[in-house]
Amino acid sequence: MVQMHLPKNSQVKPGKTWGQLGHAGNLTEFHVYRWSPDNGKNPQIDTYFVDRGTCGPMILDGLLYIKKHIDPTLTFRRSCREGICGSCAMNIDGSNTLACTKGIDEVRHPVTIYPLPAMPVVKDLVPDLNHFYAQHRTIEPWLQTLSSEPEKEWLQSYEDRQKLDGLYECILCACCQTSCPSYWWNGDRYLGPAVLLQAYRWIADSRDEIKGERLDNLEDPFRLYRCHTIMNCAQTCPKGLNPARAIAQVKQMMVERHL
Amino acid sequence: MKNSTAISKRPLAPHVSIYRWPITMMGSIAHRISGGALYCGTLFLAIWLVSIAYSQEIFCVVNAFYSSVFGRIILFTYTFALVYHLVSGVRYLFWDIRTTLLEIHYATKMIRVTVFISIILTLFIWVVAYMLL
Repeated sequence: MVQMHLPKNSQVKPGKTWGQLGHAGNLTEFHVYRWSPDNGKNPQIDTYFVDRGTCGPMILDGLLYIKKHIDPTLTFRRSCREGICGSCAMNIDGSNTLACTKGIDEVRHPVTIYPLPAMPVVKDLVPDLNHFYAQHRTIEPWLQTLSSEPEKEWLQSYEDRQKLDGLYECILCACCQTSCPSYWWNGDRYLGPAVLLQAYRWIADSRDEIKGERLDNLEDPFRLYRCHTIMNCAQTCPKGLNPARAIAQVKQMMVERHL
Repeated sequence: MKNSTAISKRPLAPHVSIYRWPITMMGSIAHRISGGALYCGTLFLAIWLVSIAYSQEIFCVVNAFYSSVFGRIILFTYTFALVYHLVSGVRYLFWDIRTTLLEIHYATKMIRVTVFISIILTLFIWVVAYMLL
């Protein structure tokens, strides 16, 4: 269901402005979403001033600067700092991306940072992605075969392997998943762009032998067909992938197998 | 589950209010809004047709309202909604048939072209209509 307004406990209130450190001329303002399960208050937007002289170039560097020098309670996920783990996915300057690969000067100032949209918040910028992972599990994202195992690996031609380009690079950061308005309104039943891209990744794999069952599993008004080609997924993917296209290809296969 | 109460109290992260709308999202929303507007427009059309069947006096009143400046503005908006919804619907067909058109640069261009064609077609319809009057 379309639910424009946030529930009462989720409405964002103005927050605290933290003191400035460093030279005034070299500060960048950060507006960061804060919520803690411990104090019973609504979420709020805190304002921080990041000293660019002693801070790295990326948004993640800015967040680490805040955590180290201004407010150690600021909570967020991060790990690889090079765009391959997908931990630091968040909403930066109005679209979802990885904090580690987005430059502070690539976005408008003041820098606004929210957790991934329409997800339950565990704390500050940490969303609860359990539902997303459970949905990913339902598409059985592993190679499934019926014929007997070969002596060595399952072989694949160069051309067949190329069909996985633009699919296998997905790091499951959930940027696309949480950028999708259809997923905001119907996330309970619609699988969402990231999961559907993964579903197509296994359907398109020449070595996989249960294509029919995989398509059966998706043939559902909600799981697949809530995609209305809004294309926020492709616009926001930090790896430059196109879930909207993968979904359209699944829809084509659905038509083809009925012809 | 021990933590179930705590989990249910978790706030929902803001979505539509903080998301920056890409052009493709605007195109999609415009398709929905124009589709909704067509319900109202069709209702107006139905009222007009029913008034013809009902009586001449009622038809004159309805027709006078529809011919007024205000009525024409509504009719113009209805024409645009109809044309946009049609052209946009054809765009979705292209997207479904040729998935390469879903590459971002094509998709973005196609939204712009949809709006452009809709404006031109709407104006064309109105110019022809006025010429026939």
